[in-house]
Amino acid sequence: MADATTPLMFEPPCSAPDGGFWREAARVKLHEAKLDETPIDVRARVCCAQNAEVSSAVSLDALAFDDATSEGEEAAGGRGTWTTRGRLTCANTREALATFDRDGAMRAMGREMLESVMNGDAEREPERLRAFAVVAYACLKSWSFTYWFAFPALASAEFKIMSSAVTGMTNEGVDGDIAATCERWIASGGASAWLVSEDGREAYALTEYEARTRAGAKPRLAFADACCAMTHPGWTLRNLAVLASARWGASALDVVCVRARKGRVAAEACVKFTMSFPKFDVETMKVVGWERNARGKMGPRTVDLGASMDPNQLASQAV
Amino acid sequence: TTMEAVTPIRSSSAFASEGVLTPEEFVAAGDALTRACPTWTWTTGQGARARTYLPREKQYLTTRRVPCARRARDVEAYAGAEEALTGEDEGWIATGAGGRSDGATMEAIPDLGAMTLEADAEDDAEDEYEDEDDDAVVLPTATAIAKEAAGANGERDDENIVKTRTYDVSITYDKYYQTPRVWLNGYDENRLVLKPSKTLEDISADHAQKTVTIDPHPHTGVPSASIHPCKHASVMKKLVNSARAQSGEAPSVDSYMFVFLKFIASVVPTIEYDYTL
Repeated sequence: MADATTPLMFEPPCSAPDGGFWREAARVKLHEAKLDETPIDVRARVCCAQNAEVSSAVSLDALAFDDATSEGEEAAGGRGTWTTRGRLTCANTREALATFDRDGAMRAMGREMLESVMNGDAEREPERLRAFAVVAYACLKSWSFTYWFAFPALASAEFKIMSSAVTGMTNEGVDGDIAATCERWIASGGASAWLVSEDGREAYALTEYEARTRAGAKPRLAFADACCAMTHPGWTLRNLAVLASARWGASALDVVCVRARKGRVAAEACVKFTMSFPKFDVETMKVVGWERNARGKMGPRTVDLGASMDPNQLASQAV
Repeated sequence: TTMEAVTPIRSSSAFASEGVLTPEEFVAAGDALTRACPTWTWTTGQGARARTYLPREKQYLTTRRVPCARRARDVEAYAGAEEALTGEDEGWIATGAGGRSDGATMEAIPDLGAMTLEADAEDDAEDEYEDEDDDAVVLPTATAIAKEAAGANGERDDENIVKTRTYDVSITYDKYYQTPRVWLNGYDENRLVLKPSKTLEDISADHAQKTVTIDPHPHTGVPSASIHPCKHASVMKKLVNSARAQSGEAPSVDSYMFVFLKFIASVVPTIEYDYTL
């Protein structure tokens, strides 16, 4: 393994709710939830970075509200797409959004995530490490929506993730084998994080880590990385590192950030490095990850769907 | 729509002679596309809006978050593919000397802004929220990085620094015109929903003025920019015939969607979706 010398930095995820999501959110708030601010279960789609220009976003559309076990499951995703779960809190007023207990919500999500790490649920279903929350206020007079996403990352001041140089991959040798193996893993419907054997030719589930390492193998960690940067990994790796430390007792791990071109895993889009980290101390855990707004500051975002959804304005246009 | 409701479903194949598709051919052509280009997937959509003449799990095709780095008016070389489409299809062309449009002409596009879907980049500026204590392992967003770099270089043109929008592109079956129909839902560089009329900046000038409309998406109901299908059949007939003239044999319906998307690429020259066999 190469020397791990630099603190690793991560690209935060980007939320992308579409117009259909907000229309459905408004309908649910008006007709079902009403003044109840109890969080509603929603789901989003994530995938590998698909191109060199933009990282993939956490996408939510009108189907985000469907029961996850319903007919839409396959269609909402498809090949190379994973469903992540989150909770939508529809605040009744703008003030309620501004004063929403963000720390409390974040801590609660963090505890839940840590529990899934410790009891093995996150190994079986690594999408749990991409859980999210969103608090939103729908102004149904102006049909504008103010919203704030959170993508919790388990962290602590002492848990510093270091890494060797982040390097690109080529389509030759072990790198090429790794990419082909990862493409097969994704095409066969595998989870969003997995392990790849040392020779790059075999992929297996995170649950096999302990048995394989006990047998002397040195598996590398691979995950569907939404980040397109050739210099950095995406956010998800933070929670995977916590899993590796807290669940597996690992202190170093080879990592492959798996990205795609034209819908298939492409070695030249992926990056690899070796990361190392201290023991994750549950006692000092903090949970971070509120999304920044369009100005790069802590704060909510606003989208104005104005006349396109306001029944009064639509009626006045219908001549 | 009413017109769609009273239109009978096409049952006989005529893609080579008329450039149109039956629903079954639409599904076959879509299957061929998703096989060759995994960025395209079939979508089930909402049950209440499902069309009965299409399989429940194959209602329409989508590809998501397709980058669009430049505005169409900044791209000059997109006129080539259109030259063949003269004569009865001249409504599609009018390129040449007047082919490029400047910003002022773009602004003059009438009436499409009646429905707005506007992203408001100005957040509540007066609200100050405390930053998280995250030990500086968080990268700033691409936008922030680019703005900082531009600032260091002494540039001040904030609005034009990062222009990469993304689009969700979908293809539905239009029962009335019996052709595929393309819909565009955009996001600005901060992934905020893009006003549909702003989508016009990503459509070649002639088409933006003549053939793009903002209509409710048939499977989501959300106002979306759409390339109106009234000329699709005649264009497709021409393209299918010229392909036949070149290869000497009739193209199979499997290639319809690739030809169609290549044609659409001349309308939206900067949205880089995949349509390569």
